[in-house]
Amino acid sequence: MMLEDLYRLLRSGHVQTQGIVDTLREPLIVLDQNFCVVTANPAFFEVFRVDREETLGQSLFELGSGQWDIADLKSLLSDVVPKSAAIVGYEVAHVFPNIGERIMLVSARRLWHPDHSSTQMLIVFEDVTDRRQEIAAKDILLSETRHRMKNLLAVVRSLATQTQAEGRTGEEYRDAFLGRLEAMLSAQDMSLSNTDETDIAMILNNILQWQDRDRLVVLQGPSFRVPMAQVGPLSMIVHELTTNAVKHGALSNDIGKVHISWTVEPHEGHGRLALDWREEGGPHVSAPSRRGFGTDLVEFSASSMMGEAVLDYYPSGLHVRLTLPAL
Amino acid sequence: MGRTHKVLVVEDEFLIAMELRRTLTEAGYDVVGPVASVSDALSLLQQSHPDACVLDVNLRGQTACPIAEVLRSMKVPFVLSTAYSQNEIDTHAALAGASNIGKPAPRQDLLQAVAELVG
Repeated sequence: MMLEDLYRLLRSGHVQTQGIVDTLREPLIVLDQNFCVVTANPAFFEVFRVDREETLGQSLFELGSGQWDIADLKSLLSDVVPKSAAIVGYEVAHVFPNIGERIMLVSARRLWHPDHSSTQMLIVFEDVTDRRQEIAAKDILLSETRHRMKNLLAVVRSLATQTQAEGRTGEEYRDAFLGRLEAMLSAQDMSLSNTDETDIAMILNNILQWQDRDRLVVLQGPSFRVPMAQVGPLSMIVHELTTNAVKHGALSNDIGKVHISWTVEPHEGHGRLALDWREEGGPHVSAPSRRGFGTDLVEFSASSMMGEAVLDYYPSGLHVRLTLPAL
Repeated sequence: MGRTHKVLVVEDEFLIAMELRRTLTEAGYDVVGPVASVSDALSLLQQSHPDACVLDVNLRGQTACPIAEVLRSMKVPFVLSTAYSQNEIDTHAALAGASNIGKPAPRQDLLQAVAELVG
């Protein structure tokens, strides 16, 4: 081979190699045996926000006010790499002055020159900080999803356990349980909307949407904001009262009616919701001989919202007064 | 006949809280609460000294750690009822080492755990 051909071959190889190195998105540097920077690709200067002139020829560990003077990295380059041909993906976590806390996977390869005994070291840095954060965020999301799913199952189990089974047929138990479950799921749907609160009128409309509104009359009251955490208990109260009215109260015959109205009254310097549920025209009413889950649910739901539900069994129909403090 | 043991229930999901209260009441315990938030639990602990506590871990986005710390300082034994894994629980120093009956918690596990706390 002619000398000129050899020169062309070497120059072509150099141009190709330089092109590859410059195109790499990962920062890459070559160090001599004293850990001084022989060369670095543009990605190195860009990622670590360092100046080319201040970098070349300097000891890696003294660069940028010693930002590379990292114990783990030092140990890797001075102890591990010389004993093995290559290290791939060694993790180094460090706070860099210009770019903050980063997690880098460091891969290093020893370059041995056959013509003389000197060695160089090729080092590639892969910034996996964002990837690690994404994985961590995904783990948190998965954990939260699992937690919510189990919580939901616990709620379903609570409903199944507490819905009265004694003295009921299987179909009656199923209908009572599913009615509550559907009310709860409907409330859950409302709670999952991307707002922090909703209005009392929306909750009533959501639970009562399948009812005959000529007989279950909602008299619109003033706006009263309800936090999403209270949508569930409020929905269950309305569901229980409606179910009771349909089975035993004003809606169990052809002429009875239920009137729902509310006001917002002053209470301890804040507003308080005062909601009235009045049944009329139904069968003669008397107080139940024993407390059922439905009554417990209404009263407990109200108290869980720091409110109160008072049930009065007038012969003409059930009256319920529900008070809830504004939050 | 011995005195009735007071058991504080801290649970933010009202239907689960109801079930806990009912199960414990039927088993003869005097249920304190249930309360649904860290602040309500801490207020209640200033007025009452329960014999044991059933504690949910996530209370409306807050961890129950402040409650666990007060319970430990009052020497009130507690059991966790949470869907979080043991690894997740152990990341909180105040909760580490506490036993967890899980969620949903089987009735027998709840009663056995509370009996051991007050026993």
